[in-house]
Amino acid sequence: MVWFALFAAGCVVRFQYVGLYRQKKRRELAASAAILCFALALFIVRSLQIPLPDPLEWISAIYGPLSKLVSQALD
Amino acid sequence: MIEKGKINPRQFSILTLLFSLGSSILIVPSALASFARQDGWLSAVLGVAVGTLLLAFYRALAARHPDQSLVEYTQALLGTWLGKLAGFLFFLYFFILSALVLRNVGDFLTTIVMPETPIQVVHCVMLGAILIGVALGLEVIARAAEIFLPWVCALLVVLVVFLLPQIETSRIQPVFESGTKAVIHGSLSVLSIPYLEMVVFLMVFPYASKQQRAASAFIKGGLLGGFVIIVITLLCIFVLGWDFTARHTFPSYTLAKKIQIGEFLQRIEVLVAIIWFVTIFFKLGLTFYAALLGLAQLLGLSTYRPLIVPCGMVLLMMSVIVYPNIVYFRHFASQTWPLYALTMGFVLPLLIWSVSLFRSPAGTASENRPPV
Repeated sequence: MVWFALFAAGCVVRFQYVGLYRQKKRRELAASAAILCFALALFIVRSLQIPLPDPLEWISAIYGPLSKLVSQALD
Repeated sequence: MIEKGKINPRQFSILTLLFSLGSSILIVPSALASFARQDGWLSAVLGVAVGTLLLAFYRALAARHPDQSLVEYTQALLGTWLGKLAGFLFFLYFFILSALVLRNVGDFLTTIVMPETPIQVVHCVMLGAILIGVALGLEVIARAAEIFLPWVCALLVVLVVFLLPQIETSRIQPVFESGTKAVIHGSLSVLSIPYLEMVVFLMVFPYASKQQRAASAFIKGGLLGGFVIIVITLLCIFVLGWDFTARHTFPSYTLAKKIQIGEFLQRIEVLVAIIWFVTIFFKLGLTFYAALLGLAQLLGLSTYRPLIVPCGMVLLMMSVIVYPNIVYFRHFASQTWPLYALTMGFVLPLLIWSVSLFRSPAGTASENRPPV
C-alpha cells in the first residue's frame, strides 16, 4: 500500500506540480501539496501498524446522547 | 466559476435518480425491516414523502442563489470566518459520506462476491474509475449517467418481474402491527440515506442549464428513486419475509439470489448486482466531486484538479479506517447517521436559508459575493 501511495505521489509531483509551478499557481500548489503530505503521512502511519482513530467514533461521541433520546422516544 | 460544464434538466433528473438508488437500495431495506418489521414498506413510503418535501426545500434554497454553489453562498451569507467554518463542515460531511459509500462497495464485494480479495484492492479499482470521472468533470459524469440509465432500468425490471412468482402476500400481514412510532423510526433511515445526502446537489445546481426545469427535474428524479426504494423494500418483505430481511446486511442481493424461473434461469444475482455498482459509482462520483469543488471554493483556488489525487489518497485511507467492521457500521447507520445527516442536511441549510431571507430579498443575494 505505502509503495503504491508513494508511486501515485511521485506521478502527481512529476506531471501536475511541474505544470502548476510553471503557471505560477502557488496557491493551488500549496493546498495540493499539503493534502498530499497528509495522505502520505496517513499511509506511512498505517504501514507502521500504528492504530489510527476512526472518525465515526467522534461523530458517535457527539451524537450519542441525542441518539439515545431519539431511540427512547420512538421505542 | 471553477466548473465550466453545464448539465441539462434531463441529465439532472437521471443523476438524482441514480444518486438516490446508490447504496440505499442495498442497505435501507434491512434497516427498515429491523425497525418496523413487516411495516417496513410503510416506513419507506413515509420516508419518501418527507424526503420529497426536503427536496422542495433544497430547491427553494438553490433558487435564491442561482449562480452560486452551497459553499460559495454560505461564505457570502455568514461572513468569511463563520462561512468558512460552515463550508468546512459541509466538506467534511461530503468527504465522510464518500468514504462510507466507497466502503459499502468494498464490504459488498468482499463479503458476498469475492471473499478472498483484500478490501483495499476493491477500493483502489473503484476509486480509479471515480478519480478519472471526477477529473473529466461534471458534464462527462452526467453523460455517462445517461448512457448507463437504460442498463439500470432493464436490470431493475428483470429483478422485479422475475421475482413476481415468489411473492407471498401473507408476509406483510398484519399491516400496521408495529405501530406509528416504529414506522416513524424506520422512516428516519430512508430519509437519511438517500434524501438528506442530496444536499450534495446544492453544489451542482449552479451548473444546471434552465434552472427552473432542472429544479423540478431534481424532485422528479428523487421521487422516482424513492419509488424504486419502496418497490424493493416491498419485494424484500414479500419474498424474504421481514425477519430474513432484517438479518441480512444486503437483503436486496439475497433477493436477487431468489430468482428462479423453471430450472434454467437462476443464480443471476451478480448480473443484477451491476445495478448496485453503477448507481454507487454515480453516487460516489458526485459526492466526491462535490467535496473537491467545495474544498477548492473554500480555499479560493482557480481549479479543483490538483486536489484530485491527494484527496483520493486520503479517501482511500479513510475508507479503510472509517469503521472497523460491518456490525459497527449497521449500528452507526441506524443510530447516529440519521442525526448527523439531519444536522448537515437540514439544520445547517435551514440556518443558511433563514440568514439569506434576512439578509437580502430573493435574487439580489448573488451580488454579495465575498472579495476573493
